[in-house]
Amino acid sequence: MTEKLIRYILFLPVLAGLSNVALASQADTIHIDEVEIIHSIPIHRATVISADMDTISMDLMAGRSLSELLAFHSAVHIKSAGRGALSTASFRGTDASHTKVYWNGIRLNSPMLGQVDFSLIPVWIVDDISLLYGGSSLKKGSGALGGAVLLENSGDWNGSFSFSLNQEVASFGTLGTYGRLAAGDNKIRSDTRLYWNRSHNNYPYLNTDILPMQEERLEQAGYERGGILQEIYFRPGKRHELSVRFWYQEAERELPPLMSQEGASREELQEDRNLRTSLEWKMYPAFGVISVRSGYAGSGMHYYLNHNDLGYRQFDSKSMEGSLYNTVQADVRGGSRSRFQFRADFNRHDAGIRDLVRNEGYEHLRNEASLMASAYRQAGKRWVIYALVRQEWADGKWLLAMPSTGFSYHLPLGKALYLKGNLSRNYNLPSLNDLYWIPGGNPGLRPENSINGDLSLDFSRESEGLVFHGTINAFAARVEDWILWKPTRFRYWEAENLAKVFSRGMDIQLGSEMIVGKWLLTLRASYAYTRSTNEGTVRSTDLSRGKQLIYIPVHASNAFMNLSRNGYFLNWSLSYTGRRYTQPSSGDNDFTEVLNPYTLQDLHLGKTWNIGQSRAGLRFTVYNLFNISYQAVRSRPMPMRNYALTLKVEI
Amino acid sequence: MRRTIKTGLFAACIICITGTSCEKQAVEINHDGFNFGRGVFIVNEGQFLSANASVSFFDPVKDSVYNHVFYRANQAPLGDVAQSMSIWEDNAFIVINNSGKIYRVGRNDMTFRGKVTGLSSPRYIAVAGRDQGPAKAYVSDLYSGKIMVVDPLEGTILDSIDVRGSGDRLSTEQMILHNGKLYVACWSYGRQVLVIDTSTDCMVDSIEVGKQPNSMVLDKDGYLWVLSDGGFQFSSYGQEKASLTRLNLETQRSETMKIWDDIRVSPTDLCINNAGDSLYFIGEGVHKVSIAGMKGFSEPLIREEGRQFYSLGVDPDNGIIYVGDAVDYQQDGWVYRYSPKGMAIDSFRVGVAPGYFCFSPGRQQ
Repeated sequence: MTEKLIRYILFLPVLAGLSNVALASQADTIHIDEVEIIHSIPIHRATVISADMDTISMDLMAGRSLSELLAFHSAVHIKSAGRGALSTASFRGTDASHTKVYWNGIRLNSPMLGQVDFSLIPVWIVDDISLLYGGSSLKKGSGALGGAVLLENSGDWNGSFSFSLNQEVASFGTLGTYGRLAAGDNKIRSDTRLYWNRSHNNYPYLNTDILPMQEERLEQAGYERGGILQEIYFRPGKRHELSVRFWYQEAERELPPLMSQEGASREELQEDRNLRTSLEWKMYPAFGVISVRSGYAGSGMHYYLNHNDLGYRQFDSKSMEGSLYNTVQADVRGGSRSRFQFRADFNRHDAGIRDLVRNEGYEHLRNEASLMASAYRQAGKRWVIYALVRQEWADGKWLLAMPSTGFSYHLPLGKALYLKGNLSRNYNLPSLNDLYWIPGGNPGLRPENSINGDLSLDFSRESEGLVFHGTINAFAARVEDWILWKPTRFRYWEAENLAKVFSRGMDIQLGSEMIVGKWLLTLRASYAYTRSTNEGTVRSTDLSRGKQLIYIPVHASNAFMNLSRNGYFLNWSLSYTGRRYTQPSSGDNDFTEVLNPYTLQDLHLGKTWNIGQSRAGLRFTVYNLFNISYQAVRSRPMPMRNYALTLKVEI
Repeated sequence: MRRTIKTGLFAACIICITGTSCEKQAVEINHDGFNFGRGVFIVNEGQFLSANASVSFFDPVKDSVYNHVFYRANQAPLGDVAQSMSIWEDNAFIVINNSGKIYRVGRNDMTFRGKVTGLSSPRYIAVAGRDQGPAKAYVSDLYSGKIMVVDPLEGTILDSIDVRGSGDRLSTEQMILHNGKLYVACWSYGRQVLVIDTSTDCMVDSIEVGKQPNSMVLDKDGYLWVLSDGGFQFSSYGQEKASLTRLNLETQRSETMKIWDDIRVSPTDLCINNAGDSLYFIGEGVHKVSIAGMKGFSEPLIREEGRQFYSLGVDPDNGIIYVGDAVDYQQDGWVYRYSPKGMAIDSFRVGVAPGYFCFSPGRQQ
């Protein structure tokens, strides 16, 4: 039974393995002997509908931000206001605040805004990235009506000492330095990462939003970021593991105006400081795993807009957020066929913002607690079923329970063909700005709620020198009480539970690794079809009913090819973003409210040399190979063809 | 099998990429030149930071509406937050607030002629005309505390009038030129009507009215009526009940004519008919108040009925009332037309957040 348990071949483990091989093969040719891979996925993971980021993509984008990685290598839609500018992520046609991001269990979503700026998370500081779709996110937390992004640091227990350094020089005055030092033994380890990057970001573009139209360079768009991540892992005994993580980052960026701006000189700047820490103790008793975690996520933001020529400051706001996260979780095995998870969370958010020009702002303290219990059961040889319930409490009120149930079925048609499905209810608490912003915050807001349904078919096949896998997902979600801001008679905007949204669609992800002669070839392609429509209109003059939500493409796809041999490698990446509407009632003929589709292609060429135990690599990248002019957000120019040179040293 | 998988994978890649690339690009609409006559321009504000402001034109003779006329005439978007529009001679000036500029276009064909740039947060333009020297216009500003004096034809900034010492805040809003004086309402976080002598471009007086005067009109007797919305709850400037003030421009004396009982009422968009004897404003519907009897505050002439009345205009020729409906302020809005007695005539769809009506008297001879 155990050998055949769930013979869940591939996808993650094999893929990860082969990806590593692909990396290694950049240094040397490796012949893979035939191996029989029998892998059993723990039953509490068998039902999860998710996708993992592969190591090739992460290595290519190590010096870039998470927004750039996800835009090119996932089915998540990234809405970016420019290179280095605010970038948010949307899963399956939902809002940015419906995407929750967890860094080693600590939620990174701003309690004030509800969303995460993905441009401020460097890929360098993360070891593993996975995406949980729809209801699969409920085991990590509530509110991810679209999905969740998990960022994990796992600690490298291999070897006693390692050092790596990436140095990047790129177009538009871009420099980046990324270093990592890991040391220790099998009892205690330290892993330190330091990073810094800056860019003048003054790329040229054709300004079509002014008259007469003219070639310009983007001004006021520079940025500089730096940070440190320190991890310490300690294993006092076989059944205990302690980890401490400390991540501090400072970022400063100029905010460029819209392309149509021709006003008086302006200086618009945003400074962000973030501190995230976590302390985790994992115990491995005979019956399962217990983990206790406590973390803090604090941020300070200063935003101002100066008109120096006219001698006044239009905005000057400072905000502070401090969030405490505490979690106790127990994974309990009930024999070989059952598994139970129990989790309790207590979070505390203390946030405030003040505009110093108008002397207006708010402060608020919010306490949240939640309890989660889930049970997983293997039924027969082919079925795994689960049931989960989460109960939350916020600011003295209990929310309705959030249940989720689902299955995984090993189809008898092949060795690795799995059908998975789940049905869930989820709630997303209003952000503190939605509730308390002055003016317009609405303390009477109800949580947004959704019913999510997911169906997934995983298939894979492997033979000598070839791995092939694919996933087809179909989803539907109905979100009610969606919070929107609408203007009031007082000419300010107020948050209200306004919209009902029906989101449905499907995505396909295909991947293959194969040995062709002396080459290792990795191929991936994905396509996402997303229909996310407004269903909550009442008035006959409201013509947004049934129309696609703004900035959500119906069609999007990615493709990726990596070819490597004797340390040489060539990588071609493609990202297609379909037409997007910029106004809720616009149709196909409304040419002023439509952003045209675009296809971006990047090309990476590189060589890695082995020098004893050390390695050195050089990579040349052409971004936007075909010099496509496009806009991801209206009136925000994006860079045309640009280049980067990266030197990597590993000891 | 292996070959089949490989072939299948490549085929799938190609289908994914090429299939989705078949989406058509939006096609721009060509036009063969406008030649507008008498009618009304509707300035659609657009959504803040979305750069989707636009101009529509309604021709009451042909009973036709033309949307996106600026784009269609110039093949370029207007900008971010179009606030107002003024006509002078054969020019139309479109004030684009969050683009810091004013476009000058032909009033009959909307073609680009020039621009005033380098402004901060312009709201309205009042053209004083040409008096021997260059043409002169005044531009109010939401934040800078300065009224800019510009040459609207050459697009140059001639001077600025610093009004920061005059009130609690720095904002200037609607302006009216009358008998060599410029009257300026200080709306956001203000309660003054400033008086500027246009021969010296110096501020000569500041008259206190209710908090946040948002609009002004001149009546048949030369009184200046000022509508104040009173501000909003939680504002650091404080809130008071909305009020309507009448200013005697000869004596500079003010007289409060109405204070609303309910602090939640925030009236806007004060207009007047051509006879100069009836006031119109938005405040839970459209109200009509006769200057003589001061009646009509309690019952609206036009009920709002769940709509989002956002702007108001009264045709100076025939008294027809134009009401802008912003729907949700994100999608295309509507304009409703009513007879002077409040009977519905018709409606048409315009751009996002129709915020200002500019009546054009017809072609310049």
